[in-house]
Amino acid sequence: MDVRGKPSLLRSLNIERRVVSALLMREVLTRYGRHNIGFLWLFVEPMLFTVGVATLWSLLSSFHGSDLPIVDFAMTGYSCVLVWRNVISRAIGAIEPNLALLHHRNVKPFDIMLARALLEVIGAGMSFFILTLLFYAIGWSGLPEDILKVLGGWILLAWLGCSAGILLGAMAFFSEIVDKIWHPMAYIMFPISGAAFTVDALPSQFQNVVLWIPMVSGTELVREGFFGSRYHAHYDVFYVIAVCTLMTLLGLALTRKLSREIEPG
Amino acid sequence: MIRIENVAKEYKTRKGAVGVLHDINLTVRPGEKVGILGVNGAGKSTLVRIISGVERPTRGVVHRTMSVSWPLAFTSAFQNALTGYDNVRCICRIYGIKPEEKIDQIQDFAELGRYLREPVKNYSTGMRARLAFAISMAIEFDCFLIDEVVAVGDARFQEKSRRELFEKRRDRAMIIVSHSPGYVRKHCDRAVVLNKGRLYDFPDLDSGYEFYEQMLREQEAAQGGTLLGSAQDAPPPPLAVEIESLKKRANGALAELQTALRIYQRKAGSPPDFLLPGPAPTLAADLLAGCTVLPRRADIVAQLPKGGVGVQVGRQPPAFTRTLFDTTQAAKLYLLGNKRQSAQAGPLSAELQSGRIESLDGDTDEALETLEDGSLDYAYVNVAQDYEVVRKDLHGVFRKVRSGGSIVCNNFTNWGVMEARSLGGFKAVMEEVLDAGAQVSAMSLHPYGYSDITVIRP
Repeated sequence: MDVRGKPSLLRSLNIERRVVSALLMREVLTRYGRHNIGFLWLFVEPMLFTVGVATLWSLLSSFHGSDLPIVDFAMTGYSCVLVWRNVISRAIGAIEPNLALLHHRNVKPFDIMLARALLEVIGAGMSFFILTLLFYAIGWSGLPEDILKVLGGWILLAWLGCSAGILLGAMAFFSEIVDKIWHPMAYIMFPISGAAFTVDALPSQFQNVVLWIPMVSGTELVREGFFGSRYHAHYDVFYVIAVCTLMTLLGLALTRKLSREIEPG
Repeated sequence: MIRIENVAKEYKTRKGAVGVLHDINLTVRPGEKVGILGVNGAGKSTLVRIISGVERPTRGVVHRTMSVSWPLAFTSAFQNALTGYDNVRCICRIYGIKPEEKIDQIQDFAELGRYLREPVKNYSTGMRARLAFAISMAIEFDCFLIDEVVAVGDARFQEKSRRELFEKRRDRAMIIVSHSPGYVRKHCDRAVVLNKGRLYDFPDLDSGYEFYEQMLREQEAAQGGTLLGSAQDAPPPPLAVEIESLKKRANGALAELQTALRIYQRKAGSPPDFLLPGPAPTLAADLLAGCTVLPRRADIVAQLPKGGVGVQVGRQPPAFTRTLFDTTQAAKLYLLGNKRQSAQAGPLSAELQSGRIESLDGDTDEALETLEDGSLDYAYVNVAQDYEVVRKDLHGVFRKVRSGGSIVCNNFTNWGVMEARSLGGFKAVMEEVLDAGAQVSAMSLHPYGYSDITVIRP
């Protein structure tokens, strides 16, 4: 057992990796069980969502301000929404049902929220990846032009989700209002997160305003990578990094306070 | 080892903070079995949670160099929707143990049969407790936390768990928390008592047990003989009982210290260097030629030069300074390294006001430098200090005292049971006397062995 000896960064990282992976496995089992397709639901569920939205948008051929193929547009947009929205939703309220786990000294509230957040990132990522291949295979969409850019935008959104998730998750423990407010907020954020429009199509005075919403930059970056030359993206990566860093630091500080005050059942 | 240092715990309530634990100190060594006795509401559960690391203390620290279990047979750490098997896997992974290697042992011990693959929510209380107990046995902790009596399962299972815990793992440390002295008595080497958030430490089982019984009797008496439940308004244990327990504790500590020193000396061949900073030199016989032995320390003061300028280095009680000043009829006395004396009140106020006694601030060796070389007729130096400090002080003193002046090294043999401190002063004095080639003129005896020595500056 790694409980003796001097604490070192390497040893701590090792414990952290072990604990988070144990929690990940546990979370998968608790949520999806061993019945029917089991853990495959992890990405089948977001895939179904995305396919549903893509179909709906195609049928309505809704306005999105460009001549991009609607299926690709819906898939990239909705996949981007899924990563930050699901991560935050799951991180909020992660602690309460898992209080008992804190009886194991190496398990901290941060680990519980991180495990949940990572699971959502993995689920949404797998869904995006498989759908891209699937739609390409059946000829509904093309392949991304610049995979690195897609990945970069995606990682930014995942970071945004994780940092906001841990911050809000910790805040939710101190006040129930966070949970209550999050649901309407998530609903409102969806259309203005850049998933349902392109910044380029907006009047120029709105473009700068919209970029204050950090998700917009991430989504635009993913789309630029996906569509490449066919897409004129607007984003501010440094702004998003600054927001993420700030939220990460605040989240860590609040989680620290939380683990001091928490009293497991 | 688990070392709990000055731990306090407060909980926030609507009416402000409520202190549950106050200034707790406790050390548990590897293999030691400590019972924590206390009535309901004494703070036992909180203490257990702080020891296990589940909760953090409001103040103070818990040092752990042993792995500590969760409270044994504790069942709420299960995820009810998962099977027993999946719970085992998760907990094993958290502790970095391969579940495959342990699952047979757990299965065997918990006797769950096919239920191991069923969700924990379908288990009976007994089944859960058995599983929890089995997992805690699979993860080999150095120290087991046992909250209340482990009464799990039927008599046969109880016997099995007793064997597993107290026989097969008797080399481990255990902390047993209970309100029942019987269980603690049976399994522990030592008992401590928790009462109203304060911990009373005892070196052995009997004294802790006695204290607890006495406490219960007194609390019962104070409440008209109705209580065993709440300890909220119970009076603190009386002073006599506490003094008696401290006496036993000191005795135990002393015995332990002696044993440790004996073993050390046998293995290392010399006393540990925190007691003797290397061997002290032997004085040349001619330096001791004119030395007289005096029966009391006061006699040494009486021999000091009269009517001159003196210095007192190191802390002394004001009443002693008074005696020193009066006996030597000093024209001027400097106080160094002393707490600042009040010129308004106290035994020295008149002289401090007139300036015949002057207190100098700062480190003694620096304060000494402000005096003129060879200007002093005598120095009275407290040498019950660390080696380096004494060396520095004496070095200055030998320059400031005039030729033929007296230097008294007070508490020259400072080894007293009460201090259990290093003999650094002795070595420093010997070296300084040899270096200066100074004659030893007198030595005085003291009933507890705090002897003084007078040296004449050559």
